[in-house]
Amino acid sequence: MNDVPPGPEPGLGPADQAQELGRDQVSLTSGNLTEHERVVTSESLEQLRLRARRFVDEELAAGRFEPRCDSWLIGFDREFSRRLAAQGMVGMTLAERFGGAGLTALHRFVVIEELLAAGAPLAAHWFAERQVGPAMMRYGSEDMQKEWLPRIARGEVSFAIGLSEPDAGSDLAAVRTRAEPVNGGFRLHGTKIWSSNAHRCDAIVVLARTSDEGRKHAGLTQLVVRLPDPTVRVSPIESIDGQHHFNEVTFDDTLVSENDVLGTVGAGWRQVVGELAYERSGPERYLSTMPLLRAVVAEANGPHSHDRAMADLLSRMSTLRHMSAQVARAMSDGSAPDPVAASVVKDLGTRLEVETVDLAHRLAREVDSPSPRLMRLLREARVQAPGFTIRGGASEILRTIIAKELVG
Amino acid sequence: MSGCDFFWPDDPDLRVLADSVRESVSAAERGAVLRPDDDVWRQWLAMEFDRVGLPERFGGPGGTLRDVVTVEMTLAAVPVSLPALSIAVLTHELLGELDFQRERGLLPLLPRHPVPVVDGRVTARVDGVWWYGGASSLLLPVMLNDSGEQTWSLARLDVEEQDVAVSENLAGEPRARLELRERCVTVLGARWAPSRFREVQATAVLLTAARLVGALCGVRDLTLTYVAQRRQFERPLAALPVVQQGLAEIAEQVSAALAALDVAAHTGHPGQAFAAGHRAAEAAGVVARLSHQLHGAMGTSREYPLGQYTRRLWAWTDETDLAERSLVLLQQDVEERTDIQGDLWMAVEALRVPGWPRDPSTTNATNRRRTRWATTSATSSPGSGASPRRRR
Repeated sequence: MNDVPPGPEPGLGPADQAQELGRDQVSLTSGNLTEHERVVTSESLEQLRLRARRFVDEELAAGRFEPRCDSWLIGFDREFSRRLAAQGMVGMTLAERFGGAGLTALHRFVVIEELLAAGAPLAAHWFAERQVGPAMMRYGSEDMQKEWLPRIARGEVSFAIGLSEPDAGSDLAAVRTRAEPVNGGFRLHGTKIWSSNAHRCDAIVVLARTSDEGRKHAGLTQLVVRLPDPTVRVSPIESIDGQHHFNEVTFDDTLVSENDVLGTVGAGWRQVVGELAYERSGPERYLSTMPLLRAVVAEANGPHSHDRAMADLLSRMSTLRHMSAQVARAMSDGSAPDPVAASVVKDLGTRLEVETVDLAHRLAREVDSPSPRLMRLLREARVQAPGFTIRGGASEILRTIIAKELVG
Repeated sequence: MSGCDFFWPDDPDLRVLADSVRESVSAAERGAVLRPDDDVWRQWLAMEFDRVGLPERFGGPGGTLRDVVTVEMTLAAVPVSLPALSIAVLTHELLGELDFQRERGLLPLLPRHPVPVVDGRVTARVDGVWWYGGASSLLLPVMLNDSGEQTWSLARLDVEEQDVAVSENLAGEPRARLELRERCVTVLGARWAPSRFREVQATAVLLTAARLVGALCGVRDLTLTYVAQRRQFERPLAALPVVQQGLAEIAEQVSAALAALDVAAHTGHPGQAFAAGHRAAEAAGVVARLSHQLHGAMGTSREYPLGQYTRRLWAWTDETDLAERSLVLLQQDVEERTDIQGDLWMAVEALRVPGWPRDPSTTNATNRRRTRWATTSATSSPGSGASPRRRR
């Protein structure tokens, strides 16, 4: 879970990123493209969607995963991530020279929709693919890109995010974690909280204060901290159902090489805010409960008493898909992400998700003998739901952003 | 986020069309309900704005569904009630390829279901008929049973005064209840499948959604301006957190309604049209309530323009029972395409037109509605005030 700072984000889309990075530079990995990746580049969005659907259908039929609600947060399965990557469906927007497919946010959108709708386990590569990879593409040094991006595209590396702090929830700029300059890098001290799956990740991207000068939004820097590290303590924060995916991460004079600075020292705020359109507007904001809805509708003896509710769901879902795709399209076209559009998708989408949990429980009352899978999904959705409207920017904060942008 | 073309930045021609429409009604009083004897209405007809979307083979200037939606939205955002285009579009939708299209004075009726014909006669009551005068003939969908197969066609009826009870809706627009008692009818020769009737209903819902979205944009912009200018507690209302929450909710609802309308107009998918109708109806309720709350007592004054919009929002949703009807029709549409119980995700997918979202490399021109709306694309750049005919 990442709390999110308010404010607009500047930024470039993949098209501009490609220009920035220089497509004519010597390719690092193009010779290593898998056959699947080559196929991807010539596919239409429709073909790609159907291929993603076939892949998850086959995985499900083979019993290689169990559908889960919130599978992008709590479905952690490194082997699945690798198999998905072998299909060319991880790191799709990363440049081909870094092992990606050089495709657009819309390509990622259609694949992610199918994976989330099936409840496939995506958490092992989620943050690496959704925001760390794109951030490294835009801001990372060449050495950093060479080291991490091919691994991200192969689905073999897991990243956690260290943004929130015990005393800085929605007000991210109030971070206290400090990174003091030392010879060859920084010494990191402080505590991050709500870092999903940090206990099993290979690295965590930390937002830390490197300077007290200027406004509080200045002087922040993003650092990549490799895990495990003897000076980093990862403590579990059990969820209300006893599950463990959140963590508190404490850095006790952790040394971070200057080579592991992501982007520019002091520009961390701008960089983090630039990731938010990716984070707020994606299909994970309206499809987290789709596996539950599919299961309960399939088992209910006809959703007759809830026909209107189902039609209402379809209407809202359809609209949200379009709005989310609009943001992805803008990113694909290289437009600067629109903070209002992304916030609208997030707020409306997560409200729908919360309501669908109630709807699913009403439908479930009509199921004579609910399957163990359905029972598990019902419980899972109940305990995950409170987080829907908090993570990635609490609804109240998002609405404040929207209102301020509108009024000016 | 301002103006009704927020989601259509990729089509500057629609902006030009909207400008032309606004200019064409600039002489009308804001909030006016125009009648056929008004100069603005006559000028509107002379410029053939009422025939946007009508194919050239029927004497129209052509145009896409997005053009039609743009015209309706723009009028409602002024707001001015001038239903000539909607009447013409629904007439065309009902007639299909029948060649009565050049006639004026035809008034389409759209009951919930085609009316059965018994011994050459029909008995029906149709509420909420737009009654602006000037109609000489009614077009009534009628149900037929040809050799056991359910089809429908059109009956053409003369208008008889004793059948008509005229009133006004909440927005002051003339409406009529038609009581047809054993009226003798002549059924036209065409026979259509029931699915085509749902397509006509989809167009009707889409037109209502377009008007609602236009009015919603008007309310949103009015409310934004008001809370930014009105000061209370020594600061603008917009600086109060609780006001900001309300503003954001308004903006979200309008954005969702716009997005639904956009995809429906872009694809011509009947299910999307019903979804757009439902989103617009939902937004109308929320936005009307919140905008009045944020305006305080000022919003309740006839002198202040908010009521011109909100009365339209309430009238158009109530008289069509839009929230409920659009869901019923949406459900029917989806169930015809897929088995919801089989797989809910496939039901969600049934509302998506294959190929949507478009591949990044494709252009806007490929997304014109493929059927009867694909006759002419509005790709020229008309000058301000240009008539639809001159737009070609």
